[in-house]
Amino acid sequence: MDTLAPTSEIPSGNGAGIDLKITVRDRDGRIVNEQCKEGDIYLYNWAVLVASILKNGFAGQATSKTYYGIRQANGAQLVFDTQWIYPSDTGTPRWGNNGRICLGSSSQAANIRDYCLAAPVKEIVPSVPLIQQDGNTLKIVVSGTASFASETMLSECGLAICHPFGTENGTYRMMITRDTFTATTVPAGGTITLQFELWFNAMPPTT
Amino acid sequence: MQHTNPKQTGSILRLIGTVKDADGRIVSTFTKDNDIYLWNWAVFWAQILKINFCPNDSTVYAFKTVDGTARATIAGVIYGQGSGNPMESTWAVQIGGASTAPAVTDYVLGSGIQQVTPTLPEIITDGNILKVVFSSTFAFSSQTVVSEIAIKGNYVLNNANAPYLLTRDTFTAQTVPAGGSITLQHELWFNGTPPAA
Repeated sequence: MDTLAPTSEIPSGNGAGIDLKITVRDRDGRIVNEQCKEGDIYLYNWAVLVASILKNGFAGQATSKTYYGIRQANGAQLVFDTQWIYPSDTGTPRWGNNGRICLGSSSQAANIRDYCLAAPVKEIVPSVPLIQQDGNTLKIVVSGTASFASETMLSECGLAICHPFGTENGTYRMMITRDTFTATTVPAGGTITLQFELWFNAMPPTT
Repeated sequence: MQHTNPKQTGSILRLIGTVKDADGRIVSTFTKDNDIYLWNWAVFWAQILKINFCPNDSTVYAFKTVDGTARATIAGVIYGQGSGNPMESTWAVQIGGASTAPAVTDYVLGSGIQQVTPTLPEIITDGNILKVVFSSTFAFSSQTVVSEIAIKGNYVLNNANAPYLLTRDTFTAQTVPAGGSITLQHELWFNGTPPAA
């Protein structure tokens, strides 16, 4: 007979996180700064997206009075009952082609309630997401490179996607991650490459 | 390379179980951390990101449905509500009786027993920690041993009614008495890991 006492089984090394790798190069392609920021955070909007998709899958429209609220990247609040998760296809690309890596220059600490960058500088169209597997560790890897004609200081970034809760045809975006990193200066004519790694079932190494 | 890690953030799947007898008395409770996200979970989110970032790219992601059929996502397409491809009300939480350790390549329970529709997901915050929480109660008329659990999705990745698992894990086998029930609460943690129970 099982006892009433709670038990816990915690294999080591599990967990997940976002790793952010940053590489800055000068106009000649030489690396002038590299850094890795662990613990980039998921924003509240991410949780809403996860919860909404699960809710729609579990209960559809049958129970429509569960409200989740997001803030769009333009600051507008959007409260919805998650009746609808709109599809996206080639004829109606509601989610499509408007997701970006956002770069900024604020050092204001990230908070899950953030809905935009504090001081946006530039946006990048990311690469096709890759899935990497090592044992039971899964990573979704997305990267993008921005170039700057003049010297530019950067210290914050985030991932923005379109939300699937309306028929706006991909117009309205929400940020799902944001974080700051050690301020780095991209030389005139140089580039910065950001690689986001969304880890599942394992924590990224810290060294 | 410079590393910055102000605190050991992370994320995790936590499972909290409560077994009750036919009279509603608690027979046992347990907490299991590190339930795993399956390959299909990564495909799911990669496809959503891809549809946002580069919908015209021809890359597709391979996944397996619960019947073992190999499928692939459709480039530039996500099937949600409408257009004859409803995802709504087709997802579930499944329970089973196998104890085979989970692997990310799992696509079906080792020994499926029952599936239910869980409660509506709630979002709980604590500082920068985010949790998405829902629970599933399975009732049994005869004594039943259970030891594995999975979240089952459907549609989104494909336009067919072809369910796929998103998570799977095993836990210490629990015997549910005849007429009793087991409630399993999923907690999807982001930006933090729970204290050891």
